[in-house]
Amino acid sequence: MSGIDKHAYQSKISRVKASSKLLFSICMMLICLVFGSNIISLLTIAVMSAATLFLGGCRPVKYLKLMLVPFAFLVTGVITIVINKITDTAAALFYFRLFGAYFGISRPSLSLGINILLKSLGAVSCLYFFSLNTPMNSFLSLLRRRMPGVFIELMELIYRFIFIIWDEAQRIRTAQASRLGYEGFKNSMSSLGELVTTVFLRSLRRVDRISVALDSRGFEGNFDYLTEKEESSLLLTGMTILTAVSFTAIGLIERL
Amino acid sequence: MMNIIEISNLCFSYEDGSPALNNVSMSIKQGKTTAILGGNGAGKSTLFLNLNGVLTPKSGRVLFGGKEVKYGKSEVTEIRRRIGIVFQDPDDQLFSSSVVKDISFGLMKLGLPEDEIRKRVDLVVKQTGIEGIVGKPTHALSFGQKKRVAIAGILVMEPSVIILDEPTAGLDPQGVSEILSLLDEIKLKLGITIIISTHDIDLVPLYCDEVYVLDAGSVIFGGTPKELFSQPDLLRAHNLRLPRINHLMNILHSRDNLDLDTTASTISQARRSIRHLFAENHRSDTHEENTYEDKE
Repeated sequence: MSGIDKHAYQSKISRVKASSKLLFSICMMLICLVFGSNIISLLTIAVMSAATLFLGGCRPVKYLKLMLVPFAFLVTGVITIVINKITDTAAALFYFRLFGAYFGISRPSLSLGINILLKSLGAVSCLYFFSLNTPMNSFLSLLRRRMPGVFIELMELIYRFIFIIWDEAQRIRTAQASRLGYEGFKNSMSSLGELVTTVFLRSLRRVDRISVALDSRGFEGNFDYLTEKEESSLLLTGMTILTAVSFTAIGLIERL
Repeated sequence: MMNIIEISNLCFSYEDGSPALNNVSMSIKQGKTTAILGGNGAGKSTLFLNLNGVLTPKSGRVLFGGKEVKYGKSEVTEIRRRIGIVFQDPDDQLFSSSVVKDISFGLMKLGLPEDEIRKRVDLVVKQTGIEGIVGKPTHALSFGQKKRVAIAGILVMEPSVIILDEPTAGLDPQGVSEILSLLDEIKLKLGITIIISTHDIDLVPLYCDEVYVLDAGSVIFGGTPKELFSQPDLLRAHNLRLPRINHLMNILHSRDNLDLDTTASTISQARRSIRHLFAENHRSDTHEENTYEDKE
């Protein structure tokens, strides 16, 4: 539940300005997608992973596990691109017959598949760099200055109460399971139904208590508060400029 | 001794018509800790919300600092700043996932410059001893830590009175004594008046200067802990009990005929009384020995 969230708070650069981290990952993502060459994609994956592992201090095993999640989706997606209906069986690297037609992998489809896979992983590594190193709180502070207040306040409240409601659901589930509520399919379904209703009703009751608490703290319709101070990182800014320039150069040279 | 809050004949009933408070009159002494005792549904929380202006009394009046409390919009804002409530479940009170954001919430409304707000937040963080957790998100804190953050969010408003609804419920013994000594510190160092509701009778003689007992929306008793614990029958009639130490002293007095102070309710009071008794026996013993020797 709170895997990525926990990492973001534990990251060594969690207190660095969210804007500079966002700039870095968006720059790299754009370069990776615009050039779209295998070399640039591989370099992006390498640089962004290194940044997450060394700057952020994420454990390699954890990072690999997190990378495997989108990887599984990507592989299944790419398989459908790589395997096509083919007419020229001689040019195919591999083929099989199905319903009277030939399906298989050709050289161009394979290289297209690999290209898409690397490009996507490159983009994912950029996204991971941002989400594994930026706590939600600092991301929300960044958005606060640029988006309508209502959206941000909603996001902040939802983020806060996801954890409260999740804890509540966990407690109910444990209580049900300890009374054999999840033995067998039929039991499980009815227990789950009860869990959902109870969580919903309790949330409604909690709303009343929260609005009383907010009233008594002088709530007048908007959540104003201090934003936390954030550090600026010369290292990150330097890295952004350096990698952006060199990657663009590599990409352009490759195209010539 | 000045009374910071003077409640006279306060009545309140909820929309379904059931009376929740019935002619409640109380005097809350400035700079003291007042305990409100009473079982579940006795009306403690309802009373607090009436004091803080979240609920409006049906009749009766409340004097705060000698002036009558008005329940108009602008007056209510001021009264909420001056009388803060710390609720029982900190998850109901802490709406932000960032500790600093939550503490600064009430302050932003006062129109203070940012530097001043930062200074006040830093001070309160130190006073409540939460320096180590300000960087953590709210959902990663323990119950006791959340409670401290909730207290900090109220304390930062520099209120005259802090009301705590069941401040010790759900805490481990260590957490209980930490929160209570924090409250003692707030009272002694900052001169803030503390009102707590509690089921924990044993903490009353230790930390409270005044006690009120509420039952079914009416005040049953008001006075010092010592006065309250000299009336065990009244306590029993309203589903309360004596502090354990006091109970023991009473039994030793009535069943074992030991000449002990039956109003002693804390360990130190009981200890003093027991030592006193021993010293007296010792004195009479040596006296007897002396007379014996004298006889020889």
